[in-house]
Amino acid sequence: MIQPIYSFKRICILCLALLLLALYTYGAVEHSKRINLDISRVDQGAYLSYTRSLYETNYNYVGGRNRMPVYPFLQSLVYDPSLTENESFTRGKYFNIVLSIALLPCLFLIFRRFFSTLQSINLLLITAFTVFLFRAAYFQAEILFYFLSFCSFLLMARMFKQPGWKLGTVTGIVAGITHLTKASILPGLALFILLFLAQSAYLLYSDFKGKIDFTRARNIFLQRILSLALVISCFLITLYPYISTSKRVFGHYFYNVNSTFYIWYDSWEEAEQGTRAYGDGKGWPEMPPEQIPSLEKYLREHTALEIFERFYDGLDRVIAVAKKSYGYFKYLVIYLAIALLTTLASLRNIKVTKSQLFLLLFYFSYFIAYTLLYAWYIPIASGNRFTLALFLPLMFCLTATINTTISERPQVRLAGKQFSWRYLFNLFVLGMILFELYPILTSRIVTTFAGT
Amino acid sequence: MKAQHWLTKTWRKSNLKYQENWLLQLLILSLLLVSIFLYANHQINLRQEQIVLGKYFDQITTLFVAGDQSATAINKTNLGRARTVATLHQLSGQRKGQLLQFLAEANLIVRNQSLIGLEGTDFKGSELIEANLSDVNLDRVNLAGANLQDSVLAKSSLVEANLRQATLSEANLASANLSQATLVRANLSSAVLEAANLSEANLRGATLRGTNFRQAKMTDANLESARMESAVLDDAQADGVELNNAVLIRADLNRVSLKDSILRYANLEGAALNQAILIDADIRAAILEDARLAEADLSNANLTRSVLINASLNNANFSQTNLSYANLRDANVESDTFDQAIFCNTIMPDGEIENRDCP
Repeated sequence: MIQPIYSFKRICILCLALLLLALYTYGAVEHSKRINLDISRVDQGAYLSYTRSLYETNYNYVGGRNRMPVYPFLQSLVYDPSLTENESFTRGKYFNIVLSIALLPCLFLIFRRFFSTLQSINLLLITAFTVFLFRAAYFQAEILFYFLSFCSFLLMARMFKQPGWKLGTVTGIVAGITHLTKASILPGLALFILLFLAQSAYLLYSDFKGKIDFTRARNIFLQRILSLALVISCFLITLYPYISTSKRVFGHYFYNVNSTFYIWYDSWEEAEQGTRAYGDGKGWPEMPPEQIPSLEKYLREHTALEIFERFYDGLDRVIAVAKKSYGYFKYLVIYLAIALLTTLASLRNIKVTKSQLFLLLFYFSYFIAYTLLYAWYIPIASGNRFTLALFLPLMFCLTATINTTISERPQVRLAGKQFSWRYLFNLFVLGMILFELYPILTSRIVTTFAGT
Repeated sequence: MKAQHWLTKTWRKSNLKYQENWLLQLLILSLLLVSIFLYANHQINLRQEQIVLGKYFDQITTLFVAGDQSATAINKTNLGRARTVATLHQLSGQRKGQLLQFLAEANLIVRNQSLIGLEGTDFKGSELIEANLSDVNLDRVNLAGANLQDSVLAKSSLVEANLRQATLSEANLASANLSQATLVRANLSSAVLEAANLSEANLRGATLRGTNFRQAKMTDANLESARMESAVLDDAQADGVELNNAVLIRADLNRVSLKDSILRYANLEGAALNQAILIDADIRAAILEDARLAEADLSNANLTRSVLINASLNNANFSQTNLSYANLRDANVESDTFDQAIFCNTIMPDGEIENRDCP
């Protein structure tokens, strides 16, 4: 008998997915039409200007080393010089909405590789309707960056488990593209390199200690070091055209006005009157060297208490902004609470090998370092556009923790059927996000400006 | 039983193959039909365009040449423009080119005596290869993406014209007025722009390889990231010009005036800048390797991080010139040339690092 190509269940799932996609598109377009109407708000005008410059100079534009070139390059593919600024802005916003829609299935596929279908659907819906939807209708690189930095994070984490030349190459290239989208992958990459080296050294040491064949131990160590070298070299090769220009024009390979200067100012006003007023986007700022901000200068001019206060106030503001934000915060809290509870409940049964310890260290140091960095930077750029880069990696880690620690028992009996706690928790989250779609699409999306 | 099973399987396979073949044939047939339809439609459009153009020629001839006594001079001008605009909407590139050529040949758009005003008209994508459009008025005309290869536009007025991404290679634009024109990403390779006026023109990303700008007026023009290998700019007036990131390898810039101009990150390798005036110019991070700058005036210019390896700098004026972080290794220079220059981390011609003026 000929089997029907699509069963009724599949058609239902497909219809539901299309419905959710339609709702997502509707929300994003409404946000574009009703909230984000002014190109001069936040840095959207600067991104449009970068796009235009790239297009008009035949992709030979040097740029001011503030914004990175990948996103303006993508926008330049749909740029039409005959359009007015407002028309270009609208086209750019729609392009970003389409880009976000294209990234959602990719995210689902990534989630699906690690988690069950229900968990993947939950993660996708939370990401789509509490993060991506609010940032989709902007002429900004954020959505692309969130996706790429999540991919880089996963690839780096994978390297701790199964290092190899293929994975090393892909990790280096993806990290390079991420850096060219937004220049904030370097601290994460530095942490990865340090911990990976530590893990490799530890494995070599324990192999020697365990009296394993010397040649085999040495080969494993060399293989790991080679794969790390591949990560670094592929990263640098991807960046080379960009960083070599930076070296020639600005004097430093990793010159970026934010990480070189602005990070050492106490406010945006200070930065505007400082290196920015002295042409930091055209070359090394032409101002007295003693006035150029740096770590040494900052440490000289600030007390330990002032530095601590900046971190403390920054963290306070990061949490305050997240709380008041588009709705993702409660999911973070719920996932964190469940992950903590289940970890505590099954603490005795958890067996972490010493090799896995480095991966855990990477996770912890990654989140702590970036949270502190963003807390430090919040006086320069308020809002949650930076901190949201941690959302996907954090949700991923929390879900993975829940999966590792939660046991299928105890079971709950409902309508004559047995259900595990994990399944019920995921059903609860699914209900929650579906229920929340109504307030999101009817009021929150048409009242919240999400560009900052 | 086995034989029966094998037969059933084979039959199914062949049936599937037959279905696949049938689908493929249907697809090819559909594509063929669509292609035929598109071709026929194109031919019909071309014929219609030819009819429209023929009518237009007749109307304009009647209006201006045969002498329509009922119309006054102003009416004639207005009518001519209205008919031109209406006709242009119905034409594609090649016919638009024929229309413009007709107006030029009939002396209806002569510079300063234009009988039909073409301001704001749409000649986008016109085909005007080897066209003779000399001494015509094309002010504010939209010629974006037009093909004007080998055409003659000498002494023509193209003020504020839109020539974005137009092809003007080997075109003759001598003494043409292109002030405030948009030539973004236009191709002007080997074109002649001698004594042309390009003041405030936008030539961002334009291809200007071997282009002749001798004695051209280029004040405040924007040539950012233009490709200008072997271009000739001798005696040009280019004060305030933006040449940042432009490629001027082996270009001739002798006696050019580049006061207050921006040449940041420009590549001037092997370029000739003898007696050039570069007062107050921003030449940061430029490549001037093997460049000839004899008797050039670089006073108050900013050459921070520039590369001047093996450059010829005899009798050049470096008064208050900032040479911080510049590389002057093997530069050909007299001993007193740098008396008033500013040095900080500068690599001198002998390879020594000079920190004389570091703050």
